[in-house]
Amino acid sequence: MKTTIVKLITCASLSITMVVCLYAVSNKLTHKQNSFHRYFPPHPILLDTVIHIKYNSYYFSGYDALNNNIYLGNITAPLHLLKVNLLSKDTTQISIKMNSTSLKKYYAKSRILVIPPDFYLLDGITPKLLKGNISSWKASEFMYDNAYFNEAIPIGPKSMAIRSIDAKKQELVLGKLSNKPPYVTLAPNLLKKQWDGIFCTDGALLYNTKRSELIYIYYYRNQYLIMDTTMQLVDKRKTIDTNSIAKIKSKAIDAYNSKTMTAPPFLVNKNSYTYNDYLLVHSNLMAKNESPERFKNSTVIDVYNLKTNTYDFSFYINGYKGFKLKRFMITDNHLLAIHHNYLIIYELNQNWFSEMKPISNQNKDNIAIESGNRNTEHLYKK
Amino acid sequence: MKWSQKQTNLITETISIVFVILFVYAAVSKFLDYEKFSIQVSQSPVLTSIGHWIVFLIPTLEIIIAILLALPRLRLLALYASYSLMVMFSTYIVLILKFSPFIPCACGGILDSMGWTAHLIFNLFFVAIATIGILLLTQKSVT
Repeated sequence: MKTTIVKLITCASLSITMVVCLYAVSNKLTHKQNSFHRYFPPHPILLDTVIHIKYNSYYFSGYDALNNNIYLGNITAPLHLLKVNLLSKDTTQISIKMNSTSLKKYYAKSRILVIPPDFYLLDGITPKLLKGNISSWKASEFMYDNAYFNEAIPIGPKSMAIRSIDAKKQELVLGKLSNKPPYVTLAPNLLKKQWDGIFCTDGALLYNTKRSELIYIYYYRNQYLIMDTTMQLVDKRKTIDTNSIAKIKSKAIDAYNSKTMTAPPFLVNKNSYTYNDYLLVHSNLMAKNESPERFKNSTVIDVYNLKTNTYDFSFYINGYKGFKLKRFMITDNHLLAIHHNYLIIYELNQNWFSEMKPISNQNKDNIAIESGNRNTEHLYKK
Repeated sequence: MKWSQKQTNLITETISIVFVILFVYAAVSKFLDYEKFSIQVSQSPVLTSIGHWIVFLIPTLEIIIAILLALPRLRLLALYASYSLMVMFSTYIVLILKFSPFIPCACGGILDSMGWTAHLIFNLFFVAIATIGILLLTQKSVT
């Protein structure tokens, strides 16, 4: 009896050790430290308010700088918006109405974008493009919309930048929709294929209104493209990490007629947002000068300056009630973060986000401090 | 103690049969949908870099253990093996639930529809019955 129990315990501990070792080996291979550094200035964002938004399906739809409102769309309620005033922190529910009943279908994968004074309802599967005014919240058709897409963003009154799948090559391709023939112009040379042309070129399509530039930031490599509104490449830039080749493996499963990733993807740029002269990137890679503990429990955002083409600094957004950051955006004075069903409002420290406001005399002093700090950072690196 | 002996035999036999059914079912469903299974394993955050070994090893082991369980002379050894395998699976699930950055989709067959926590309880139940089987078998051989 005794020897049996000893044997059982030995077997159990051997089995547990074996699996833990497998995990440790595998984990080490996937989370290698990267040879780059981040710069963390003191308190670039300050916690302001936490708003309980009830559902975890909200995403950021847009920002009305004039009235200090932000809009949240909801994935599971495609015709519903939540307006949040950044000064009073009041929330208002908005329902979008359709101009005609024939339009009032259920757009399962539609997204709402608010670009004051307009809002857009975009659906790439039906496909359907609707537009309306934010005073009446009534959506109606406004342009040619017979092209399928998986990302779309308005770049003019009647034109859209889109990302679609090339029917012949079965690869992702960027393009432009306009209201005049030939309606759809594809720009097949923008996305550079590294493996399969689907997963390896996947990324986020952003539009910077202030600079009238489109940004396409790859998820799996350290690169983003800048394009003008005619889809001409302006510049190719790098994020700070060293991952220039997408580390993904994909395979077609013939029995299911689908393509899938065969290894957990090595995400580089998980989430991004552009406003004013900034590009903010939620990076998934840890720098050399970070504590693994801190990196694990929070989200790191890298700030790039589009005007000066530089990496400015990074900051952490801590998890809230055990939920890590899911989506974020910035406005003139705030950073907004969605953690599960919480909307967290942070105030931007204007010393660090100096591009947000025209430089006054007072701000010039701050910039001097800023460059001073940066010098100490160089010492720290060495 | 003849009646008790008979009952003991019945219990260990039932336990062995339950394990044989479980292992044969699990192995066959993995081999039948081999392509899908191999992709699922390589997506697992715990097994990323060693997945291709596991894919072949696990169902093969399951079949071998099932055969051993059917042979009365090797039943004790086979129960130890089943016990160890179930402990490994349980450890794997605990690691996935507690330490993994994301939770991958589960294995094939009916187990597919089970959540990870339900799966853990399911596994621990099998660890428990393997323990009972081993204890009963060794007790018998001592007396």
